[in-house]
Amino acid sequence: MISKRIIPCLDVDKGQVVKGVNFINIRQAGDPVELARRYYEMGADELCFLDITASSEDRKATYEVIKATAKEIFIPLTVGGGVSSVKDIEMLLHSGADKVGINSAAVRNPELLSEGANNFGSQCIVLAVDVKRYGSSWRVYVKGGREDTGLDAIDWIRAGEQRGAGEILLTSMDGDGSKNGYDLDLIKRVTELVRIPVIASGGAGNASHVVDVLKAGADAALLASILHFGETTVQEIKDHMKKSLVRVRV
Amino acid sequence: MPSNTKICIIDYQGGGNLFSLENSFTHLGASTYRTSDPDEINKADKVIFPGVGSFANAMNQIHKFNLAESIIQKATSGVPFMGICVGMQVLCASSSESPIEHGIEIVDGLNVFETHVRKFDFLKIRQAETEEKIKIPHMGWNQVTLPDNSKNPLFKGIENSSDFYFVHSYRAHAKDLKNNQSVEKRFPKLEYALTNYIEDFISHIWNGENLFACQFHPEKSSEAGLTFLKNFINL
Repeated sequence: MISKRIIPCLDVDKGQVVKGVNFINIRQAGDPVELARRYYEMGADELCFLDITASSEDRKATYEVIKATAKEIFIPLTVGGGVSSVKDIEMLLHSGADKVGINSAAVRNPELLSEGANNFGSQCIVLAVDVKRYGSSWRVYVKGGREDTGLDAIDWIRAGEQRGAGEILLTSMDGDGSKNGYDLDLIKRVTELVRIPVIASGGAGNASHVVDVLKAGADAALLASILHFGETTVQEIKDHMKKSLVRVRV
Repeated sequence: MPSNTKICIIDYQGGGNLFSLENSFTHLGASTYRTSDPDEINKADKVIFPGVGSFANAMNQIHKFNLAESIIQKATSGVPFMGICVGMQVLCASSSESPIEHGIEIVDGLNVFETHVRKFDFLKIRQAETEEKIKIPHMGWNQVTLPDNSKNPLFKGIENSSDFYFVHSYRAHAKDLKNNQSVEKRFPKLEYALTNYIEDFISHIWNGENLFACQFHPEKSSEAGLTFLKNFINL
């Protein structure tokens, strides 16, 4: 049977890994290439690289960092941040990304998902969705969590799947960096709905949180703070998964 | 001697990415070159036939560059040859993966291996579903299990049933190869590895000599994948 995946995430700003809490209060966490290699050696199943500045002037530097990162690791690499055209997707794939995360641009222009899927295959189009809870539903935010789109998260994710996204990277902004655990209701709702893999993000504080979200239906768990700041390791999380009977690659 | 051999990567320009594959070989100290020229393929000492795009698109590109005959020839010539992902699928007889605009249900492959490639069976998926939905594509790490006492040289140093990385929605079915007399006649020593996702499918084929094909991506399969590629370099 297929394994559940552990995916360390590097939020990169101007060539440095950073990590915030609830999308603000960002602090430095190290060199992306070095961290990528370390996570690879620790047994990460995949790696995610989010360019959180992604302004046009930093774009070229980003491709170079991605290339350098991709050379060090022999596991899949997802890259996101500021992706807004088929050309951007192509540039990232040629820099060594295996999958490309699309967020704000997909809301602005949902066609980008189908164009991306038609050109490069669904398997490399990841729809990244940042959501905030509103009572018993969730709303989609864009531009790094700064703008409320008013879209219902469930409707949007369903539309994204239909347009050809091959995977969903679902971030709970309420949970992001909080270490209070993932939003399990959200993951349950979404994974009951779609037939593509869902990566849960936002809120991991310890290995039990990871096990909880994988048992709730997520196919993979995205981790940042608790790994970057050495509070736990990939191995520790995987040991806990194994003990909890969650199938994992060791 | 083997380390001096350059590895020929068939580039049929299907829009896919050869970065990781080339990077893995470079990391392992082997040099590679890309070609879409049938004469270059004919001369090659070691060949990788990677998978890019859809089956129908790959076949179109192969025909566009007139590569079919060279690939079939080379695959069975005794020179180390490995098809990866769609590269493996295209070595099979046919696939049901074709964009609707082709207006056909089945696309012919190169028919080196007489087995068919079909989408994961949705009826079976529903029956197998218990608590969690089964996802298509089959994306992630899964176990590759060789027959007991396999002498497959590419898995040397790799524990049986190790995890490899997969991304695909179509697969070759094991029942086509079982007790298939024409396959047995062509490749009397043929063996295959199985992976379970909804059902057992063929994740690796070895003709018993130097022809290999894998559905998984060794270049994305961490240390097990690197060992697998290193074994290929050392053939």
